[in-house]
Amino acid sequence: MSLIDARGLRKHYRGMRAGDVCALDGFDLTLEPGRILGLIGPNGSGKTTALKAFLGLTHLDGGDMRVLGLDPRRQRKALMTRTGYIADVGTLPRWMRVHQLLDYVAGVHPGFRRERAQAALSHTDVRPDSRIQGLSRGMTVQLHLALVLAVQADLLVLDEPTLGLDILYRQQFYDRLLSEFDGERQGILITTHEVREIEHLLTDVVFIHHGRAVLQAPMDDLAARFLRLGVGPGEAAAARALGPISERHSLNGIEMVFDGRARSELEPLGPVATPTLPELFVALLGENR
Amino acid sequence: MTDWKDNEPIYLQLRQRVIDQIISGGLAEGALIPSIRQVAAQHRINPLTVSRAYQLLSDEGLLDKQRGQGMSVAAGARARARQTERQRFLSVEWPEIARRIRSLNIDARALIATLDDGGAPNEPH
Amino acid sequence: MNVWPALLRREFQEHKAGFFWTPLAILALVAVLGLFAVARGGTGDVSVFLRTETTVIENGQTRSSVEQREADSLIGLVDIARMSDAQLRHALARGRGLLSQPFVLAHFVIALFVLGGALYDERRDRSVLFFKSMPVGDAETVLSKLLFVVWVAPVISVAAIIAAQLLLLCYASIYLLLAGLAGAGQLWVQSGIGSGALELMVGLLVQGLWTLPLYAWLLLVSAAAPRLALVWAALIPLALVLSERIVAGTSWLKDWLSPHMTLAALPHPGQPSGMHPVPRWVSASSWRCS
Repeated sequence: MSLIDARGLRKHYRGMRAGDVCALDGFDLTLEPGRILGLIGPNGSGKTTALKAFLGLTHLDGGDMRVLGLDPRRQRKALMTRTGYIADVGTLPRWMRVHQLLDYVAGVHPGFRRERAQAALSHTDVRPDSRIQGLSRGMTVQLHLALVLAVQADLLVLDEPTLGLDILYRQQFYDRLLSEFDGERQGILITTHEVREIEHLLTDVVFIHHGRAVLQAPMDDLAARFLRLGVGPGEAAAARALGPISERHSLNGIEMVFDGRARSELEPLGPVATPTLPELFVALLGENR
Repeated sequence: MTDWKDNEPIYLQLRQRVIDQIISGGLAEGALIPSIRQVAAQHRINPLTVSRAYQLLSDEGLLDKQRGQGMSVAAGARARARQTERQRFLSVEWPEIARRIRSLNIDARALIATLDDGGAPNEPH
Repeated sequence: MNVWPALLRREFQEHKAGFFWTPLAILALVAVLGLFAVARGGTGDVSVFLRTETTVIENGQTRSSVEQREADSLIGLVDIARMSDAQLRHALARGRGLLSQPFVLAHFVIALFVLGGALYDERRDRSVLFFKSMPVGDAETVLSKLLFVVWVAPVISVAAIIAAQLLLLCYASIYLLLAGLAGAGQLWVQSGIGSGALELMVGLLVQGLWTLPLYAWLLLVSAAAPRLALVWAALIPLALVLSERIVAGTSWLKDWLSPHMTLAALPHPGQPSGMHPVPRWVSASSWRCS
């Protein structure tokens, strides 16, 4: 069974001046167990709205959706016993102390294993009697991750989880996340601006733009489908004849991205490589922005 | 986070790192290699990528599956890895180096002589 | 899984300053002021108690006004020895009522702010996203907030009220003993502290029901208001009352609303306990209806 199966999600926000804003416009997404899916798009593309919809935190105007086989809007409570969610800015209640937070989660979450969270926190500077207000951004994220991982959820939804963290905390975050990841049954849905940071982590990627899934594919398929060719001025015309989807002039000469061309076709013209996700995103959507 | 080359899939680059380690003796025969999760977390790459690299190495007879405790370097892996690498050097890397030597007009004979001097390749003047 | 202990504990922790430390602070204030009063011979306080007796006459109770004047002249702790049992019981009941008022009033004001901000503050600091990521239903969350403010937190106030009553009785007995006056034992016999506590507990339940619409309204506004939830909570009914007066010329809404508001805020001073007057109002309104 898919962890997330969403078809044709639609949501409008009523705008004050510019009329209705379409946050989701027929958005599709599927997440299978064992997969780590990156939802990638510019600000305002509908990323956060989509994540909230999967968790039953926002009302939708249309579409079909099952998350862990449940209807998120109607069965949010059941859904949340098996789902972990970390949102972009610190959402932990600032007035609470760490031990109070652990008490609370232990008191409301049947799957929470307190000793696991405490063991994870013992390696950090987060003390049980610290007030969350007084924790640094990095420590707050450590705490939140410790809570979420102590629940052993089937689905993790991470919305810009490392925003504003320094490099050390970011490394720790992904260390912990991956060393706890259960490739048999768990799935992770993650969004971030630091795409380069996670692109090797992903098994799947969805590009979202103006509320639509522009591309959903396993990373392996992307590597097979898209190639980046660096050409000198002499070969540019021959390369253009093969129909690149984008062309960019850089210090390395001219870089073109091709969709569905064989490596053997391109290699005579210059060095061939797999485009990075940001390169691919710009190549696919550069003109539309 | 590790820098990966963008012209080769990561699992192949990972496989190459393990082979380099086996040849240099950093991974002794019989030694347990880091678990898939450890490697995934350390390099921030997908566990499937790591397991694919390990699978390939195991298919090549360089790694053995140890029941219940992960994988270890197979007996005779070092000699086999050297053999594989030698072939790869001759078929892939050497033609590239030769092309570079020609394009830069370097005296190949003098270059090879530096190897006999102890391996420190001085800038040929 | 029974989530209620965790939900109520979370409410207690969040609002500990309001619902726990405030009654304690008032108790401390009573302790200090009571000490001053005793040191001055305790004349001021008791006379105040007795002057409020006019409300009892309104109530149709059987005390004659003559007794009131006599009572009026009985001032100060020194006079306790000269009071009849009935007079003493009466004075003490009035004292208990007066004593409970600051606690009840404080609870009401704090409840207004807590419920008016409850769901609004969570939205503002986005912790609502955390709470909603836990397996707790919306209904459970809202009910736990209401339940805590209406019936759980007042238990703390009641405990503080009873402690304050005991404390002042102790002061008075010690004063009488030190001054070599009689009446200390009678003071405790007539104190009515046991039945007073029961009255408080029952009053608490009933007052909770009585103010429930007001508190529920605050919670509703705090869930929906874009900002300044308390202002919205006050302005919307005010606007409705005004438009009713302008359009229909009636004041049905105002008549229905005002007892809920005023009684919750200002318990009737003439009643034995601060939480007691509501049943009288309930009977008054049912009488008016029939």
